[in-house]
Parts: sequence; C-alpha cells; structure tokens
Amino acid sequence: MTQPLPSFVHRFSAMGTRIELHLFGDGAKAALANALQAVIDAVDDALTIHRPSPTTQLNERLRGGGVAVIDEPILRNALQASIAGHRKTGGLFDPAFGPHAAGLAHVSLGDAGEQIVADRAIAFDFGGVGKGFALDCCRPVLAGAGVESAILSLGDSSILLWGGHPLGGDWPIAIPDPCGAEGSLAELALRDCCLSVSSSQGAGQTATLRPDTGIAVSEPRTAIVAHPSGARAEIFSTALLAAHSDERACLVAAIKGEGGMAIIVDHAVPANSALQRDLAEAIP
Amino acid sequence: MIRSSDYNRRKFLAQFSSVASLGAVSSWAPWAVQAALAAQSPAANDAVRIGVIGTGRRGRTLLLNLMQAKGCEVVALCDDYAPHLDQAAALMPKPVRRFADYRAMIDAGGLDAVVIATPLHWHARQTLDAFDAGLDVWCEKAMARTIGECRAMVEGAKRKGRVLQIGHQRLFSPTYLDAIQKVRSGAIGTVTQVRASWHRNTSWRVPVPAGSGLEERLNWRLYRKFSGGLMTELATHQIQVANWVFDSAPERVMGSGSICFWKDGRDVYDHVALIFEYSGGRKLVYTSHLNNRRYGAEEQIQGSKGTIEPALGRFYSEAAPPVPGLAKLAKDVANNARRPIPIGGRTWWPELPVTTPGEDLAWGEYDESMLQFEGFADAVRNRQPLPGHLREAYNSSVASLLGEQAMRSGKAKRWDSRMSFPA
Repeated sequence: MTQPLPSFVHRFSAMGTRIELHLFGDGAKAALANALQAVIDAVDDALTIHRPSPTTQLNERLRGGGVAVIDEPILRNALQASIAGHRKTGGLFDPAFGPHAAGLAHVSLGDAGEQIVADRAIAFDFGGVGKGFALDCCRPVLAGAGVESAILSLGDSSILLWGGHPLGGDWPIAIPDPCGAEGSLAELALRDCCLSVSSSQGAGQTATLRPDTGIAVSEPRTAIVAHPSGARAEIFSTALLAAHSDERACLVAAIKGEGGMAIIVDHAVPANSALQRDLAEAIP
Repeated sequence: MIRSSDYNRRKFLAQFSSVASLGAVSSWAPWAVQAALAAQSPAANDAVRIGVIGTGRRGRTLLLNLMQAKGCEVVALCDDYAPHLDQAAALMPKPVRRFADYRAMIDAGGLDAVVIATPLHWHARQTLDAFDAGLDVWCEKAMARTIGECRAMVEGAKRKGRVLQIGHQRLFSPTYLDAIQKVRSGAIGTVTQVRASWHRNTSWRVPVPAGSGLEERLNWRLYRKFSGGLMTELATHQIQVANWVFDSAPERVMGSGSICFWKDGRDVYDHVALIFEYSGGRKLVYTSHLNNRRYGAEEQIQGSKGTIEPALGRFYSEAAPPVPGLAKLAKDVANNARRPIPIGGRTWWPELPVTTPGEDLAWGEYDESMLQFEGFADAVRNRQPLPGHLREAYNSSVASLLGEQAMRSGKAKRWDSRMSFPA
C-alpha cells in the first residue's frame, strides 16, 4: 500500500479576498505556508486602499496631481509592472483612475521608480494586478523551499500553479462557466505558470472599465490567460476583457510572445441559469 | 462545598490577574486589573460601610450584588417611597438603619460611602452632597441629566479627593474583557463599525397606584425633566462599549428620535436611531425602541477579519470557506485520483448574511457586578479610584446626552473641548 502524499493546506484572508494554498510533497510544511502568507500580507500592506498604506499615501499626495517620492519597494515594483503593462496593452490595462479615466497616460515614473509625476489628479487601485504581483512575489519563496508541487489561489481567479500536478503530469484545470451553465468553459493542462480569469457577467456586474471611455464593460465575457508571470496574466486578462474584438489579436499575440496563452469567451447569460436567478434576487 | 460560581470566580480572577495578562490588559482595562487584584487581597475582607440611596427595582438588584461582594457591608437604606424601602429591607439578612431622606442618612454618619440608584435627575445633587459629607460614591449610570452635571460630578470628586465610580458593569465583565482583548490583539482586524441596539417590546411603564399622584415619581424614565429615556437609561451601556472598542469618545453624533408607538403621554422618545462618528470615520450605529424585541440588546463589533458579539458571547471569523475546487483536488490526491480541478470561474455570489455559528468568547460566567463593587470597596479603602474607569463612564454619559441633543435639535452635534473629561 502506498503512503499518502504529504500535503498541507493553509487558508486565510488578505487582499480583500480568500486565499487558499495547497502544498504537496516533502516541502509541504506549515513554516512554508506561513512564509508565503507573510509575503502576501506584505504586498497587501503596501498596495491596499482599504486601510492606510503606502498606496493610500501616494493617492493622497496625487489628489491634485504633482510629484511624489515612492519609498516603498513593493509599491515601486507594482507601479513599474503596471506602467509596463499599460504600454504593452496599448492602454487597455490601467490601474490608475482620475476624473476622466485613462489615468496612467498622465503619469511618468522615474527610471528607478523612485519618483512619480502626474499631470492631473490621479489615484491607484491595484486590485487584480496586485494579486498577480503577490503570486510573483511568492515564487522565490517556493523555489527556495524546494517544494515540487503547489497551487495557490487568490480569490479563485488569480492562481499560481507551481510545478506539476502532485500525482504527475500537468495541472488539469477546468474553468467553470461563470454564467452557471453546466460543464466547463475551458479545460487546460498547465504547469509552472499563473492563471488569471477575468469575467464580466453583463451590465452592472463587472468592476472593469474601458480606460479610454471610463465606461464599464457591459458584454458578458470571460478572458482566461495563463502566463509565466502572475502580474502579466492579470494585466492581459483585464485588457482582454476591456478590448474590442479588433484589439484582441494584437493582445493574444503579445501573450504568446511572452510564453503564455489566452482564451476569450463571449457568452450570453442563460435565461434560467443560477446566475440569472441570483441576479434577480440581488437586484431589487 | 465549592459552588460553580466560586470556581468560575477564582478561575477568572487568577487568569485575569496573571503576570502574563497584566501587562497587556493594564493598557486597556486598568480598572479591572486593579479590581481583580484587590478581590484576591486579604484586605478585601475589611468591610466598607455603605448606605444605599434609592431602593427601587435597580437599587434592590444592586443590593443583592453588594451582599455578595467581598468587602461591602450595607448598613443603611434610603428611599422616599415606603414600599420600595420595605422591599429592600426585607432582603437584608439583619436589620439596618432606614431613611426616607438621603440627607438624613448622610448626616446620621456611620458610612464610608453611598450607592446611588435614584432617578437620573437626582444623581448629581446627591453625589455632590455625599462628597461634601466626606463620603465616596458609587452611582448608577447614566451619570447625570445634563453634561454640565456630569462635569460637576467629576470635578467635585477631584476637588474633594473622593472616589466616584459609575455603574458600568460591562467594564468588569469577563466576556466583554475577552472581547476587547480580541479587538486589541487584532483578532478581528481593523474595526470600523460597532452596530448596537437595545430593542424591547414593552411600554417601560411601571404600575402606579390609582390616585396616588406618583406617576412622574415612579415612571420618571418616561419624562424628559427626569431622564433622557432610552439614551441615558440604556444607550449609555452600549456607547461605553463602542468608546472602549474605538479607544476614544465620539467626535460627532447625528440622530432621529420619535414617539412612534407608545403615545401614552410620555415625552421621551420610544424610538431612537443615531450615528456616533469617531476619528477616521469609524461609527457606532445605534437603535433602540420599545415595540419589537427580536434582536434585544446586542453589540456587533465589526472588523475586517471578524465580528464579535459580546452580548451573545460569540466571535465570528471572516475566514472564507474552502475553495470548492481545491477541496476536490485535496480529496482526489488523497484518493490517488487525478481529475480536472474546477477553479477560476464565477467569483460573484449574492451577499446574504453569514449564518455560521462562530466560536464562544472565553471566560464564561462570572458576575461582573460583584467585581465592580469589590473594586469600589478597594478604592474606598485605599483612597485610590480605579484607574481610567471614571473617564470611560463620563465619556459614555456625555455621548448619550449629546445624542439626545442631536435628536432634539435635528442637527448633528460635535463633541467640543468643553465636553472633554475634566483634567
């Protein structure tokens, strides 16, 4: 009889969402789980806008535009990653917002990321990209611990797949249909990558805005991106959600060029789906 | 024979006053630490001679507490309503001196302190008279009918070097102490709101003998010239809890009050709803009324990582339930099965109330009313008021009266420097 595979499960709340970690193999220990939580908590502490943080301080300083010095390295790195993502997606990814959307277009960052200049009032909400960034920050910890297989979920939609499935082979991921339809929206075989799933379930049911207009994405759509980097996966899935159909090909090509893959599904909400019922209950 | 209450009492006192807990607790409940240490001291048996002024329903409850508390000996009773005085005297194990006039009781001597449980508008006058007679005072909450009187009581105690303690038993309650300990330790994260209510389904009216002319004397809680109604008689307790949680007095209060249901000639509100605003936008959201008791008296201390409901003795974590797809993965791996992991789908769900049962708050039962009197007796013996306690009481009384002002005026009222605890 084979011995059960060592495993360790850790759940906690951070970044405004539920976080769940499954470690498998000899490295599956509480100490590693705690170290990963510490990394995620540190990212949360730096990027949160729900309590005082370096990001809220930055937002305060840029309330009227102007110049701000960024001392906090996590915030600095997140800003650099965001600005790079903004450029790569042609402005479709934008975690900054101001009076007329399109925030990052009005921002410049010093070469070392130590100083930011905004030519108008602006504020940052790192939201999803913050989660992807946190996944990237966890990678060195997992590598240092020598663990071979792990899955880390931040809010169920930002997922780090470390190594392969604990029983061998790739991770078989089945993305459920967010509209409640039976069966999976997509089935993927993934290894050593980050997965980001962004969905709009129709008007009023998304937090994603089209940066150039400031209008919320109203089409029911799901964007699935697997990418070596968690932050890049989030950046691209957000951009794909906001993109018009003629903008998608360019984004998909960019993702593939960086070793990733993407799936975009436009779908209608079935009239009798569980989601439709929940929406009907939730909206007076 | 060891009664369970004895065991719980000893267990609580030992646990609470242990070296490990003293340091931390001293910063947020120094009065309780001093009371717990005093209750275990041999000197606690040296009785303080107490006269009780006001032996109505509340006064008689306090009398029963006093008879159980170490170091407290009730030697005189006073009430100007003979039936109440008779009922109180009947509770005493041996006869004590009886008075119809509190001045006469004070002047008769033989007392170290008085316990005041009279209608609210009497509190300040009787407290100051007791101070003038060289007596220490334990007074039922709320402190007084006006903010000025509250200040006068504190200033009088300081000027005369007397002990003044107000009846806020939650400040000594094991359950509430555990709740605040959890708040201070960060167990429920950042607390931005306390939601509190005291809902009853009763007229709050006591029977008055026909033709006695005693309506206002016996139903003093229903008339503004004697009482602030729900605000001073009930809300003070829960404002005190919110102040304790937020470690400050409110900065501003707004509210609406009305006589909604009991249109029986009373002139205090039977229905109040207020928002007390604390620094940083934190809030106490408060309601109290007299025509539905479904939610009773409760406080919900709401933090980013959990909720504490001290009145119910419950602690709830905001920890999310397991991710279903990952639970399936764990089960599959344990069964050596490699199957698709359903994850990454819908993350939006209807936001219905969470109905998980939560966990018990620690320390269980112990009658905090006894501890508050043991602390008072120690303060009287040693001429050393329980540290920090009077400020908590003052802030809650003033906040309750400020809330009453906000409702009466229809305008938000700001806590200004004139209301600060007297230096």
